[in-house]
Amino acid sequence: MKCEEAAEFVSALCEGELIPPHAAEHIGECGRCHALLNQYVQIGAELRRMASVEMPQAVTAGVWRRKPWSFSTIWRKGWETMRIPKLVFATLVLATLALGSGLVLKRVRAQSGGPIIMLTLTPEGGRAMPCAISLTGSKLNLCRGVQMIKSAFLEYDVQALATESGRVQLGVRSALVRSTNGRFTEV
Amino acid sequence: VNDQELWELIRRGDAVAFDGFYRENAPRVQAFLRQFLASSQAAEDVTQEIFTRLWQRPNGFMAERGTLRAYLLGIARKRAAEWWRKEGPPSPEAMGDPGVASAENASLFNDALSRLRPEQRMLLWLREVEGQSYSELAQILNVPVGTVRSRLFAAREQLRRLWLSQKSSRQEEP
Repeated sequence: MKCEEAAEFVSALCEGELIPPHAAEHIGECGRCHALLNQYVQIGAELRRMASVEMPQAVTAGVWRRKPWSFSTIWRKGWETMRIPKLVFATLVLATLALGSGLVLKRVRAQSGGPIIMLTLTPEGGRAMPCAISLTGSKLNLCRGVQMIKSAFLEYDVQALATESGRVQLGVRSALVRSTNGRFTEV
Repeated sequence: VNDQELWELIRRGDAVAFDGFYRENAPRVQAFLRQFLASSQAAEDVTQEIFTRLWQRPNGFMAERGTLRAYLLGIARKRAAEWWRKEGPPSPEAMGDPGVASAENASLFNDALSRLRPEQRMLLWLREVEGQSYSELAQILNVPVGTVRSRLFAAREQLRRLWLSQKSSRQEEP
């Protein structure tokens, strides 16, 4: 047996497993496999040593009793509305429209008269977020998402409020918050 | 109390039982998450979220499938994956704590560990630090037991190579 073939059995020995006799015989006679075994054992010991240093001695008491964090309670801004000409939706269009609340609408795609609009939103300093909204059903007319920007969370809602002649009215709201010691504060 | 009895107490809303469960396990979960999220703050936030949700909606644990700690670590693994999905793919810089990794007193082992793929680091941590069995690891990672064995070997070997490489490169420095 070659050392390369025995290596997995050396690892298994570290796990406290029994291994096939031919592998055990090879490892017993091979200095290189012995050295490997020692290194694997060292790795386990070093991981546990590191964990012992890093393990918090105590955690903040009772944080689990806190009410769930809800963006709906700390919206920085209420609903902002805007109207987008339906003309924009006629074909694939690249547009840049500031929606407020730190969000920018970068891209709109929809079929003329179709039931769905596809938006691509880009927050300042963040990455593009796709957003699909139905213009016909009340259940699917809301697009909601969350993104981490630096060390803060941005959550946003975009909702189709109404369709008028040639226009779609969108409602937008967002919040950017940071967590410090289990408490959430607006950025 | 055993895991099943403790779970029943938690399900019935026993705050004393849950507090004991939290105090015993939250540090371990936080240390575990610290290895895979980009900051200590993120690990603390996700740990808090896990226990808050569990207190509010205790469901999903089945004693016949593994221990309560394995169940908890499985949740932590999923939450860490969700965190990264929201944050974007992890970069090598983000995975380690640069402040710690580049500090003068940082050990070569820490450096090597931070260069390991997150899933490999997770597996080794669960096995070597948390002492999870093969079957528990299979449950946490949602893979067959045989896969756990081979992945453990691959992770251990990769870490060994990285560690040796760190050592030799340090020796070559003037």
